[in-house]
Amino acid sequence: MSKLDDSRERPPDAPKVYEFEAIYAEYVGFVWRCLRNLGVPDRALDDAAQEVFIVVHRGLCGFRGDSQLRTWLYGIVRNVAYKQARRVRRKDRAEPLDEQLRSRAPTPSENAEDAQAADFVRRFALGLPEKKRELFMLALVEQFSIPEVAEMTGMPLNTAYTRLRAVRTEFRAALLRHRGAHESTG
Amino acid sequence: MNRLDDDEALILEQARNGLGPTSSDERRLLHNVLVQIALTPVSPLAQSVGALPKSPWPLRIAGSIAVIGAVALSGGLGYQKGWEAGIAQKTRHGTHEKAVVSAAPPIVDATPASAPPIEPAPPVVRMPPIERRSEHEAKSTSVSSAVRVPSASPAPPVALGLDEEVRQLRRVERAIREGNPRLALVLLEELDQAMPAGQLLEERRAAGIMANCQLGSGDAVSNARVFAAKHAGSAYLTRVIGICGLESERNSAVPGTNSEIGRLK
Repeated sequence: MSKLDDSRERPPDAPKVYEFEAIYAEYVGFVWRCLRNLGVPDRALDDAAQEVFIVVHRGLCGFRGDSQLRTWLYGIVRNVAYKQARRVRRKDRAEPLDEQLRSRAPTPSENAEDAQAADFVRRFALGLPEKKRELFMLALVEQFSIPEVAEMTGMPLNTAYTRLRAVRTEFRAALLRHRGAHESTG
Repeated sequence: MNRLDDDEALILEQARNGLGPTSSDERRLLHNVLVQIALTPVSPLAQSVGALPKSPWPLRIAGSIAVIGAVALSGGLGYQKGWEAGIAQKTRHGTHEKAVVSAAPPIVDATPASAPPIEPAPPVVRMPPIERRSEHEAKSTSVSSAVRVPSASPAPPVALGLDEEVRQLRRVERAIREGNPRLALVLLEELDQAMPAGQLLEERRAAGIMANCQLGSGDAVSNARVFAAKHAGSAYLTRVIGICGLESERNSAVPGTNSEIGRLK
């Protein structure tokens, strides 16, 4: 087997070749977390993530530019997540958010504290309106810079800064309540 | 940094770990995606292009070209019928004798200009051969055993049946139709290694020539001429001619006869 990007007749000025598996390895965590924070229930995660990467695979042709890749990838994630969320809403219209988010017990390989933190963050994210949720997820959870987030979401930069301040305040308040509740029960 | 900042950073860090996939999630997902990619029929091409959200301009252009390519594929579909017919004929006879297609070869208008777009550097996809297995087996088998990652030392040839050869060739053909000649060549190489003495060698040769023509390889056109000379009655000849740009040579010869193409060298 020849090396895959060691193409036999690759023109000298050919743009960068994206290897699907390299993209998968780099972005699978990002895709998975975004899908969860955008409201895809755990039972539908596999299907949603699979759909994302199949669309990525089909669309990779002619792609160039790292920041564009990230923006494009997030666009796919967002589309798939909202499609899945619609599907789930149609399917179990009566299911309350708590049921959808019912925490699964952490597997032996998962850290219990990580699972608890994930549960808290996810509940907080899903309680936010859509735009704020994206901002929270990309800027605070994924730690992209605000200009990157603005590019990925198509949000004006100043709006992104303003919203982030508001989201951060809300998150701190929620975290204080969370800690307080834990300390009083603990 | 005050306590809340520390708390905030800590809980976000923990949440990142907790929200992410486990390593078994990652392996299972990759396996499923690769299987899906290998087995999904090509028809959702337009659908997939349509599904691309707010794609950046190179993709939008690629998408538009792909739609044009899909139109051009109406000829390609004719070719596909020929391809399937050729394979079906071979499958029926179970032999690698030269395919003599009694029906006229499919009419293909795919000139180089209307052929699917050839990106300068299409994505390179590691496409491990997916072994035939039942759905249950596929689900219960670990990725490491189900997916053979290409390695530097080629795997020893294994005994594959005609069915498997047909399946692999369909993947090759799909890659060519999707304008992904590098993937087609990789798949062909895998097939050659796994099954050096298959029954569909003419089809492999045609596919290899088409992929190389799509890539613009130096000797691709001359190989196409040789193929045309050797396989004047081949069901794949029209497609080879279309992709490799031998239409003008055919027109300058006695029009409409594959045997005349065969004399072009």
